[in-house]
Amino acid sequence: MSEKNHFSGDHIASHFEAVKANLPGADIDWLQSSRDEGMTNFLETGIPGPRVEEWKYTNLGLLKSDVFKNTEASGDIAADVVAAALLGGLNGPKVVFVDGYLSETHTNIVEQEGVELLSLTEFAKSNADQTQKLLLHAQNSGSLSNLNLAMMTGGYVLRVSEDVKLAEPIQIVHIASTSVASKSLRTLNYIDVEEGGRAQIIESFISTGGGSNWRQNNTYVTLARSAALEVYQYQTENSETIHMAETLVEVAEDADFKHFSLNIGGKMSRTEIKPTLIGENGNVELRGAFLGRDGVSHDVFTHMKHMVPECESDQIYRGVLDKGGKSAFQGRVYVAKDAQLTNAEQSNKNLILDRSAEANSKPELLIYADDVKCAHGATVGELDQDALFYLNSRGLDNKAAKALLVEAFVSEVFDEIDIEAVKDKYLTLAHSWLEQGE
Amino acid sequence: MMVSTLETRQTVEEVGSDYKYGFVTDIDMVKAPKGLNEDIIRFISAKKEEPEWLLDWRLKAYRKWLTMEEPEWALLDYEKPDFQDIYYYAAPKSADDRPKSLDEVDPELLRTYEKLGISLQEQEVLAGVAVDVVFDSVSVATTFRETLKEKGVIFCSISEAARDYPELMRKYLGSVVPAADNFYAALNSAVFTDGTFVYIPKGVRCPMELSTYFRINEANTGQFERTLIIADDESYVSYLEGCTAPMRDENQLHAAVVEIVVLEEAEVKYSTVQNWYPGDKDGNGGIYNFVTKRAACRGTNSKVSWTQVETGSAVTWKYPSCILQGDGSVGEFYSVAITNNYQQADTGTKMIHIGKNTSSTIISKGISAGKAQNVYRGLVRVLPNAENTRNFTQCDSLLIGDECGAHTVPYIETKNPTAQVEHEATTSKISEEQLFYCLQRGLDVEESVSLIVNGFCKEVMQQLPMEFAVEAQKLLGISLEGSVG
Amino acid sequence: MLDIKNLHVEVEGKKILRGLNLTVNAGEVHAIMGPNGAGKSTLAYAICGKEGYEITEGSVTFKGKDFLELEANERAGEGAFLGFQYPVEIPGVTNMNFLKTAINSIRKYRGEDEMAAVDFLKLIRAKAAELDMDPEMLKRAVNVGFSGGEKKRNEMVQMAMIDPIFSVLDETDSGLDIDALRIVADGINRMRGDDKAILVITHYQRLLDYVVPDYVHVLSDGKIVKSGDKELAQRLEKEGYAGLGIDENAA
Repeated sequence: MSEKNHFSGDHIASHFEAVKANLPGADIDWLQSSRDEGMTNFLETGIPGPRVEEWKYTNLGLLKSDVFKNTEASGDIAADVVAAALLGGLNGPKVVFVDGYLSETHTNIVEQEGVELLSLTEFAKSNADQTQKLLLHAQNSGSLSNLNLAMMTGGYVLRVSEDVKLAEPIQIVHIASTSVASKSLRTLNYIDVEEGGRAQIIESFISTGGGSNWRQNNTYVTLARSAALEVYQYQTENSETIHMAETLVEVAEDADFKHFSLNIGGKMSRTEIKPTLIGENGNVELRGAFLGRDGVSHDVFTHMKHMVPECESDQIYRGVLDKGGKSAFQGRVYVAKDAQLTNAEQSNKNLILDRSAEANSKPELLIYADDVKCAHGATVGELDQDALFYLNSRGLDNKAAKALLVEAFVSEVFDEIDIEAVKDKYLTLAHSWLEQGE
Repeated sequence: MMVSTLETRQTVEEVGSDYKYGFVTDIDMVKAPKGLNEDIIRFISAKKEEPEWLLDWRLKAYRKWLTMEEPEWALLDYEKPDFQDIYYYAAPKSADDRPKSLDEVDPELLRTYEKLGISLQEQEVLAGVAVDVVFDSVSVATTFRETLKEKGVIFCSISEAARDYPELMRKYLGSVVPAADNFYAALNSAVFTDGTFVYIPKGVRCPMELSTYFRINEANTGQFERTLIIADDESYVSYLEGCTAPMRDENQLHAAVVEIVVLEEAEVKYSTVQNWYPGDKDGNGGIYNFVTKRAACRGTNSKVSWTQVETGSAVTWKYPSCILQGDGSVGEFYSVAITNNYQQADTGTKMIHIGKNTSSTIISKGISAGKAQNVYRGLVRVLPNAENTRNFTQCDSLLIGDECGAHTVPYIETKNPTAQVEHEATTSKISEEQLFYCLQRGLDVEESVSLIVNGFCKEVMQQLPMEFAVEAQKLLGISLEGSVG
Repeated sequence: MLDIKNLHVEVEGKKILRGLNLTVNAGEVHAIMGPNGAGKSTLAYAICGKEGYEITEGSVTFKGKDFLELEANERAGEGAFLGFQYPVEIPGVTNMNFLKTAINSIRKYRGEDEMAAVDFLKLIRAKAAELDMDPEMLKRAVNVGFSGGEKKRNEMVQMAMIDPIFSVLDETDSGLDIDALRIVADGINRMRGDDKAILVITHYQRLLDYVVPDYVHVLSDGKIVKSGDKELAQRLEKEGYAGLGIDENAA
């Protein structure tokens, strides 16, 4: 388990020391010590090398050393850019991050009783204990989570009180601006839904120009009894970006967590989702698609932990890899000894459209309880030739027929989405990605 | 029972008398001293009267092994063997005074076969099996050699092959599993003491199933067989490997290497029933089974089929693999792995698709009972030029009791758009309803479990040659004794 | 033959049978009727020894032996057969192999020799023909992919092969069309005999047109609340449980 440092620890540590005082929340002593601890933990193992099993398909050699720099807030961004990034027809709160910093100008909090939405540093000031507990999650996680903790430039906190249902979905937009050549953009968020509370979050990641950025967005979620949360993420960052999004979720009794993701952009993306079912009758649904070509690689890493009896989880991921695209799905279902009557399913299907593309899949089942129903399936293949011929025979040319079938293959994942604006966005993004193909 | 015992004895007696054509053993030197160093390797090589190149090959492997680390990626938890506390060369005790009459045959050997319910004679007569019995390090006897010779089939110990067929050995030894392929393979390359060599010439369909029974009978003796099978163009052979081991308190290491070369249009079927001593109910003792098995399909339409029924050993680390190089070549892996009490198995396969139109099938049935852990670990890799590759994988796990674990860890790596790779896996338990249904019809608990498990494993069991199938079915039942109720 | 006294049975801590009494003599056919949830299947499972059916009070005696002391397979060895309402699927195990193992297990229990393979084959072909079962079905895995009717027919073939002394048939008629019902009834009637007894559990009267019972009992809320002859079944059919003052949804 030797981890290789692609960067010199000294280089990172000295950079951290230099910018530390300018990072948000520098006036909170304990927050600074948490950052220090994060940096120490990170430096212990460094950036995971290809020999670390969980990272074996992810080439972190792509990271350039200069992405550690530039953690200062950059200039603001035009209102029309923000408007274009938001989904229309939704009147809920809007939180905008520009280059990793919360933008006061563009953020628009719609007040609702029992709903608290604010920046992480603001929250930290009045909730020291809770924040410290939360940051422990990051400290106990992998080296990169620790790095994110040390260097984060912002984040949001959402708290939904008992039995409160959010009136409208919250939109969170992360924009990487053109103002700086290469940036490291690190956000750390916290979502806490109390008993019976309900919320929906739409979170997007976009860039308005070039720049080899390193994006990290880590979210820690606790869902109390009968709480429900839906998270919709999509990512269309520029082709130089290294995108990493991690979501850790604790799901209590009768609670319900749904996560949708669509990864299109970036040089490399890695989406990690780690739900832990800690109360009976919990339910988790993960859905996602990743579309890659021209040297883009997408990784999805899920770790579903069933710790208690009678929970359900279901994962469906679809990948489409065109010329030069690469993907890896690593999905793990863990069923603890006591988690009897677990029902866990996992499916990953991939389409390879070109001989220079590559798809990897590692669906894992680790099962320590006997009275369970667990199944997984994974396929890699080309389009169904019969279906293709059928469409050809109905007059569609090969390109149109293929596009139709691929689109159907991807859109199935998003079928169940209730928020029309989100569903449309997903489908439009997938459609235009396909249009760009040859 | 008496009749079959008598037959067994007669056979063993015959086998024993054939032995004088086997090896010349220094009467005073039955064992090499414990531990491993270059001198031990030289000693082994000298004992075997090996050519210089083979000694060099061993030494190279040994030097490489010294720089390697024991792998830790498998989901296995065991005390690492002390490699300096193992005998690397031991001839059978009875070797210096070979059995001349019935009474001189090692009764332990007879009893072991008796427990399995199969006698050598029965096998030979009923199925026309040629038997090459290996215990500890030296091949004791080879039968049916004459019949095979007529067809040009070479079936002998690997030591003999090194002396008598140096060109074949030099060409193919280590060509599928290189000397330093992995930690255990490197160890085996350095110290292998015996094993089997098979060569099927062009166009020959081997007239009988070839079989080797392995057996460990001396405490603290590592078992390092090496098997090399070469199927020349358009040939066919079915090879059976079975293992038994008497009860031991100390863990014993078994690190074998099996290499198979399959040339154009040739087919090799390799079946294993492994029931080494699994340790007692509390997890004491048992065999460490760290085996590297690999087949290279080098010609057009070559085919290799692995079938394994793994019920024994305390720890199993084993991934019989297929390198599908020739266009249209076919790889198959059918596996049943049963773990009970404290047994641990991390087993599966690798299918490496290199040639065009290659296909592979993986059917794995894992059964876990007691406090055992059972892992399927498999890799399907499709390289960029492997056009129209097909793979189908089905992994089913069955859990008996709530203290065991069943795990599935497949790796799928595809770099070709025309490939179709499918993987499915399920995990379930024997349902109370199934069990009660059987009980209500009069079967007792153990019969019921055995029946249900045999049903669960059917797709794999039916791949076994008839002579093995019956024994294997019994074994499934025996292995799960005491797991329910 | 069978003597049930004051039987109390709990399932997962829930009281299902609450003091049931029933005596079945050799040569008799008894029918147990009752609304859903009355405890009919529980009675069948308790007699045959299914795990999870806890006897908290009472006794079950079969031919003078304390049945409750015996394991499920031992009860089968003594001659009890349960025709399941939902026969379970056993993948990979052929009907043929299953029956052979079952019959030889029962013989072993009774200290008898195994049945010769030839005799077994003859017998099973004959029984399959009698019950109009396609011999190909015998080669298929036990109940796997069978229709509801085929499963029930398969139960009848098994019953005929095992030739029990005492048969309990748990809703064997449910979900059958009229042709299948006739075959099932025919199978049950073949099991009648002076030294045998049958307990038919059913929700509807229609099976009893074909298998005429000597006694009919109405089970409600864990007890037998009414007993009579076949007339009672007909009255039930006409007037319903409510007509007899029994709440259909009591449980």
